[in-house]
Amino acid sequence: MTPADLAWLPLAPILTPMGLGLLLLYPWRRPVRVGLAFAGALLTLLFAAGLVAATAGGTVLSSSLGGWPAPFGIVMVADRLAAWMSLLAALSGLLAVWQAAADPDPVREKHHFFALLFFLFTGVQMSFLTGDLFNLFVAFEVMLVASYALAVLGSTREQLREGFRYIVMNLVASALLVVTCGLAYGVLGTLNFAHLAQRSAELGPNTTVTAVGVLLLVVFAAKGALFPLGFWLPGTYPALPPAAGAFFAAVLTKVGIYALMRVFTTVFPQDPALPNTLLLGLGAVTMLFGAFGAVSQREWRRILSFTVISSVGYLAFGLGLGTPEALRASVAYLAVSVLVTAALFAIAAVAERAAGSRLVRMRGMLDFLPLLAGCFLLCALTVAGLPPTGGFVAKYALVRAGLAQGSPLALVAVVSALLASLVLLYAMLSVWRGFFWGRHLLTFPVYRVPLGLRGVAYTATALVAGLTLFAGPLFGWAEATARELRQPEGYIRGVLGTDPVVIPPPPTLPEEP
Amino acid sequence: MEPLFALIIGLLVAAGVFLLLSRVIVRVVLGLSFIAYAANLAILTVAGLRDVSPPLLTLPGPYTDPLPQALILTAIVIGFATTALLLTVALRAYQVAGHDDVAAFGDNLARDPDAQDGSFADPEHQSPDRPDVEDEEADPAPTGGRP
Repeated sequence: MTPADLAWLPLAPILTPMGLGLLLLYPWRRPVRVGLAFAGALLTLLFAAGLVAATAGGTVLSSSLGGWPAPFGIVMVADRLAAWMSLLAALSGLLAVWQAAADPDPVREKHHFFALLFFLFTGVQMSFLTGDLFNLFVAFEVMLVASYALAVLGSTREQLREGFRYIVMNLVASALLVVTCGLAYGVLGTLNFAHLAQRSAELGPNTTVTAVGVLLLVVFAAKGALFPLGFWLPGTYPALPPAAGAFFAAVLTKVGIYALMRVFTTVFPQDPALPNTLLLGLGAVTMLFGAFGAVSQREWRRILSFTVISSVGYLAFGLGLGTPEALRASVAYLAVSVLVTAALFAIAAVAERAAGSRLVRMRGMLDFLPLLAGCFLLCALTVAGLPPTGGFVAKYALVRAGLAQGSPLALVAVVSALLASLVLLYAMLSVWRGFFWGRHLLTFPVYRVPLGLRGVAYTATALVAGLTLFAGPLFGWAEATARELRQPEGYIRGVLGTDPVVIPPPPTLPEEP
Repeated sequence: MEPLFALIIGLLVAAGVFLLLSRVIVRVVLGLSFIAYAANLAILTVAGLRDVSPPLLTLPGPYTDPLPQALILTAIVIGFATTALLLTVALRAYQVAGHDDVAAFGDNLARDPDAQDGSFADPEHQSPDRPDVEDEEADPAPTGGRP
C-alpha cells in the first residue's frame, strides 16, 4: 500500500482512546466499563503496531487534518521513532488498564478514573505523532490536564500537595513552551516540524535559532524531569493510585525525552554544540541524583520514582553525545526503560498489597511470592544494567558510544554513568534484602494478592525478558531509527513532498461591481 | 511600540513570579495567570506589530498575520481550563485544611507514610463546609455501575 492509502493510520491511535474516553464518561456497570477499557487499549495497541509495521521500511506517514496541505494545516506524522514511541505507550497503557481492572477502586472509578486514563493516552499518543510545534503544546496540555485530574483524584492530603506542585511546575513550563512557539514562529515563520527543519537548514547555524532550541530544551527538561527541574517527580508518582502511577512513570517523562530527540535531531540539528553540552552535563548530574535519591528512600514507589529520574539522565546523556552510535543506544534504552519501569511499578503494587504497607520493611517474602521475587531480580538487574539483561546491553552501548566520542565532558558523563549504575545496584539490592531476603517475622501479616494484579507484574517482566532475548532485532530497529533521525530529509520529504513550499501571495481585494 | 510591549511583558512576568513565590494558594493561581497573559502578549509581539487591516477579505490589504492570533486564542482557552482546574484543587485544599496557606497541603519533609496524612482526607468531602455530603444524601440512587 502506498503512504497515501495509509494516511489515516497516524490518527487511529489518537482517536481510538479519545472515543473510548468519551464513551467511558457514561456511568456503565463496572464489567462493561472494564471491557470497554480493555477493548480500547487493545485496539490502540493494534493501531500502534500497524504504525510500526507501516513505517518499518522507512516510509513517513503523514495525515493532514481537514485536508489542509502540510505547512499550512496541522499534520500528524509517523516515522520510525514516533511509531515506536506510540507502540511503547500503547503497551504501557494496556498494562495500566489491566492493573486498574484487577484492583477495584470504587471511589476513583465513580469519578471517571478510566475515562481520565484514556484522555491521558490520547494526549500521549498525540504528543508522539504530531508534526507541529504548537500542536505539540496542545497535545502536552491534553496529556497534562488528564494527568492533573488523575493526580488529585481521590483528594488525599498527600495527593493534593504533590498534585498542586506538579500542576504549578507544568503550567510554568507550558507558558514557556507557548512563548517559545511564538519565538519560533517569529524567527522562522512556521511551526510545522518539517518546514522548521527546512528553513533552519536554509538559514544555517544561527544564534537566534539556537536560543529557541535551548528554550525548548528547558521546557522539555522540565517535562522529562532532568536534574534541577525534576524535583516534583519523586513526590508525585508515589501519591498516585498504583495503575495510573505505573503509566505516568513509564511514559510521561519519556514524552519529554521524545520531544528533545525530535527537536535536536530532526528540527534544529544545525548548531548542536550548546544543546549537546547542556544535555550531557545535565544528564550526568541527573543519573547520579536519581541513583543517590533511590538509596535514600525507604518506600517502594519512591525508590522506583528515583530510578525513573536516573533513566532520564541516561537518555539525556545518550542524546547529548550526538553520535550515531549514541543515538542508536538511546533509542534502544528508551524501550528498555519504558518496559522495565512499567514492570517495576506493577511489582511494587503487588508488594505493597501483600505487605499492606508502602514501606520496604517486610523481609522474607521470598517464601510467599517466589515468582514475584524472580521478576523483581530480573527487573532490578535491568535497571542497574548488569548482564544478562537488556539493560546491560543498552547501557553498554551507551557507555561505549561515550568512550568513542571522547570529549572530556563525555568522559566525565561516562564515569558518572558507571557510578550511577553501581549506586542503583546497591539501591535495588537493599530493596531485595529488605523485602524478599531474610526470615519473615510473624508479627507482620501477609495479605493475599489477586491473581490479576500479580499477572500484570509477571507479564510486564516477561516483556522485559523478551527485550533481552530479542536484543538483536531491537538494536537493528534502533539502528534504522537513528539513521532516519540523522537524515531529516526523509522526514521533510514525507511531510512536505518533493516540491518546494510556495507561500501564496496575499489575496487582492475583489473588484467592486 | 515593541519596547512598550516588551516592558509590559516584563512587568507581567515579574508580577507573576512574585505571586508564584507566595505562600497563599490563590496568589499562586493569580501568578500563573499573569505569566500566561505575558506569554500571549509575547506571541503577539514577536509575530510583528503592524498598523494594517485585520485579516478580513472585505477590507483593503495589506493584512495582519492571523496565525499568532489563532495561537493566542488556543492558549487562552487552554489556560482557562487549567486555571479552572487549579482553582478546583485550591478549593479542595481549602476544604480539607480550612485555610489557604500552602501549609494546607502538609509537610513533605520527614513524613511518616503510616501517619494519618497518607489516608483519605475525607471519604466523601468532610470539609469545614460540608456541601457535597448533603448532595450525596439528597440523591439516594448514586450514578455509576457499582455492584
